Amino acid sequence: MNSYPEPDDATLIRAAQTDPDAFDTLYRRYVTPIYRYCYAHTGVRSEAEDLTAQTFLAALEGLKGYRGRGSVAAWLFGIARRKCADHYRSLNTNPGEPLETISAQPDPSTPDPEQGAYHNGVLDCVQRTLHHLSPDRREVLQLRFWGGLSIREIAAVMHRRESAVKVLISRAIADLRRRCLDESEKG
Amino acid sequence: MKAKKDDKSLAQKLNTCMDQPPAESDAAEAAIVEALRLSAARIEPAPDFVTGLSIRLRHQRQTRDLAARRSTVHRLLWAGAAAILVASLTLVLPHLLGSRGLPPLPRLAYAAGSGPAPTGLLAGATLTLSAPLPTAPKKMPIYVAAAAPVPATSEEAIAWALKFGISNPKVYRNPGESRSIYVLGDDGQQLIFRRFGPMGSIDYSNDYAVADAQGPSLTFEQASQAAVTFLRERGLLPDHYRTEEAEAPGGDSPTRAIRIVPVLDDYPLVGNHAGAYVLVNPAGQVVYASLNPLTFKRGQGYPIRSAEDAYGSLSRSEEIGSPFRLDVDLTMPTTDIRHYRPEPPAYTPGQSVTATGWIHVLVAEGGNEIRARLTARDGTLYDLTGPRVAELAAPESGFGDVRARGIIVARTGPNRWQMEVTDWNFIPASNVQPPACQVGTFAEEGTTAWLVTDTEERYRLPDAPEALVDGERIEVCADEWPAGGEPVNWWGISSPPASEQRPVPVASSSTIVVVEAIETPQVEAPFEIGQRIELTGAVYATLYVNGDARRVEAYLDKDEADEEPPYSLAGPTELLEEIAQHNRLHVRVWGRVVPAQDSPNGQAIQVERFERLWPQERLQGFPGHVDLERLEGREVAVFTDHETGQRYVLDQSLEGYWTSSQDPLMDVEQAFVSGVVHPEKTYAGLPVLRLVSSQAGQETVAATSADQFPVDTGPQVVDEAALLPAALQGTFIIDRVELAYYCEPQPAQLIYAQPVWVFYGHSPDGATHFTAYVQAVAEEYIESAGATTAPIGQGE
Repeated sequence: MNSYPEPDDATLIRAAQTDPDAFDTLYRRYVTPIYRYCYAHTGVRSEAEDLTAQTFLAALEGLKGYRGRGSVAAWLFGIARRKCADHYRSLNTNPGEPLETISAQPDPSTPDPEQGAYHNGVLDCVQRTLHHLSPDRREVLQLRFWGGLSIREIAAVMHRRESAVKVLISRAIADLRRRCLDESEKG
Repeated sequence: MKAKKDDKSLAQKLNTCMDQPPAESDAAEAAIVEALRLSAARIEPAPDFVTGLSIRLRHQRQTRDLAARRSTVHRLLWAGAAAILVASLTLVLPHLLGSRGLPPLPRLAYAAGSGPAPTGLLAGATLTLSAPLPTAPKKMPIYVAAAAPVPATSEEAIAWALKFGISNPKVYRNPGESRSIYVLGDDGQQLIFRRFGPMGSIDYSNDYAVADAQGPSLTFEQASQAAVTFLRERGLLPDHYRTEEAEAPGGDSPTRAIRIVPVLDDYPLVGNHAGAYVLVNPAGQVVYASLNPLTFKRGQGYPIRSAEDAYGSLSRSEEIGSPFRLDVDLTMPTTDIRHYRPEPPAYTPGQSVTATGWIHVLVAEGGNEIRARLTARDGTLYDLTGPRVAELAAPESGFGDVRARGIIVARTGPNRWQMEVTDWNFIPASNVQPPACQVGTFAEEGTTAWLVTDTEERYRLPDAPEALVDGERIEVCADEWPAGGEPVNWWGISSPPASEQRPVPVASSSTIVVVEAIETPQVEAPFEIGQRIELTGAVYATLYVNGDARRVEAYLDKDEADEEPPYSLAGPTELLEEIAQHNRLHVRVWGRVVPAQDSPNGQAIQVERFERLWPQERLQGFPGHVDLERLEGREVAVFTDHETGQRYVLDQSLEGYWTSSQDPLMDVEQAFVSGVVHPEKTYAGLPVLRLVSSQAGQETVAATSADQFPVDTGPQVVDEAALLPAALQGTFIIDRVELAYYCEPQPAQLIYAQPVWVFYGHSPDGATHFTAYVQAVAEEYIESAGATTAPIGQGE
């Protein structure tokens, strides 16, 4: 399939220092994974939108300090991760518990792409169980699958070694497997 | 101890294990990974939100950068686009129109969002076919799509508006969205023309018609007819089309959603942006329409796989020919939580109002007229008027949230008001606080309702839902919590408190998602089974509690061993619990290597005894800030403890796991971090601090002591009782199969419409519906999976 020569992140972020369109391109590239990551944390659409907005506004503010090194994804997710953590602190809530608040209801003004939820079975179980994993295991899965980050980028965001991240992912998947497959098979 | 000669190989294998799709993992892991991928892939931000935030970011940017320069990026993109277009015209058309054989078509990839493709969900699932498989033609032409013209100038936009019957149309520009044209009439009708690379979109809305939306919904046939007539009268109806029911926003809304699906050669065009989406109100008026106009040029015919062949690939989950896209619609499990929203405000003209929200500003072209609309958090819209509105469009004013005060002039919609602004102020983005929800008891005293929190604070709840009863436990969400009995401007109440509810396990299952057994990657073990070893490293431990039962998962992370995975620790629970109390600290363990199925390398250390490596080492908290400094020839992150003035080099920055100047901690005047000072490691004469956690915000800036932030020592504790197993059984039923054209316009790609088989299915309980798309062109005419992408025709 053909592609235009799309600028890479490093080019974009350098251009974004002076060019609003470049930041917009970067924004379009990352808004979905950042939103997904925030949604995975909150389970609430309006809060995910708030956190996504805060992340990009903070990124825009921090643009001038960017020196063009490191992964842009790690930078953005580092901001998002902190925004999510601050959010929980402000709510005094366990981040493991998705907030099913009023704002989880569909926005009447737009079709809700997230409408519907889990069916019974492995998907349902994985979704439910995810929120009861240990915080670091849950975090690596959220960054990996919801955020779409590479192992190295997760390591940068979490300030952990790549090898540790791999083990965390492996353990987290093993947790989910044990809960969602092994036990049901036994039963 | 075995030499580390295989460390690199081990790391590579681990990389492979983690980075590759589940096809290389074992069946159970693949099912879990697939569920995770699907969970993520089904989450998409609302298009309105994405566009709105984009606009907001542009405004924000304008305040910082008044002299915006022309886009170098867009020059790059357009130069690329022009090059590709020329290449396409040169290379593609001769092949499409000529008779030199059939070049391979692009292999379709998952197109919804940026997440990984959810292929494999159906792999191994039991599929039952309850619909006849249609007969396919031997050949079908492909189509090359091109964007139909969308107005690019004000004059063209006005001409279109008149064609739409918009009264007294006037062109506006959004200061932050320069390539879009807004046309607003004085009758509530609006058109927005947007351009995305080679694509254009048209959005039509009719606010006044929305205001009149009352009564029962039209029938599907009536609404379809209204939608078709609307598009036909405006020259936007495809030559051949079919109408389908679409999902209407708002659930109970009487508005009906119709999708107009273009038909090519008797086959529908499918894809995210195919056709038009039209909303029709009970009065038969079109209140909203959205479309990406495309024209199609017929190309050469390609051999088509039979439906039986495609179904065979689907049911056997063959790697080649399996779905390139899978849409799943799942039913929300019911819960007993009741949610309440406040009634929309009922103002009277002349009433003073304060509203907070984000603002959308349009400036009339060639004039000074400004239209500003404020969207409050509760969804109420305010059309702002008055001389002060001009200030809102001034770029130096910034674009955070706005708090506007003014006088209500008139009601302009069901939840929409005209407000004359008397005063306003921006709320900087950094000061926008996330919503706060509080839990407590609902109390009624006479006609006054209260939330009495668990800490005995009392907040007055105006217009409390009548269904709430005295003593009921509730959760209330609001932006601000005024003290002293002032009414709380709440925007959400749940009962029982939503945040206290665990996810509700759903009863019996009838859906099966079993993935075929596939090869498990073997990660080379670092030791020999039975080998006695002595290891040192930092402990990472998680304590799982389930009633009286406890178990510990712990591993040891060696210092300076980046490519070496942490070692799993095994042993009696009591011993592991003891080790877990030294979480994040260094220990020395003695033990024996044993097999461990759950461990990535298949081994664990059966711990026989351990000791703290450095008894003085501890996890502690520090208030301070981080700077980047160049020390001993390299840039490292240095944390300065504000209480003692002591400076530390952050270990993560020495190891390369620091996002350098981009780390969020860099922007903070004072953060609070917890970490472990390495007892022996120094860098440039400074002690080394391994960061464990950090937080930053207003509360950390104001903090004066580390004591204000407790440090969690010991292991992470997980409530294992909350981990519920789920059943896996049942089948999916395929209830419809059809041949269609798939077209997914992307700004950065050539647009093709090529044949696909579409399988519609559901679970027997109806809770899950899915649509699977399989490429229909015979496999030998599709690019190989690993092929370098190239324009059609280059392959010859």
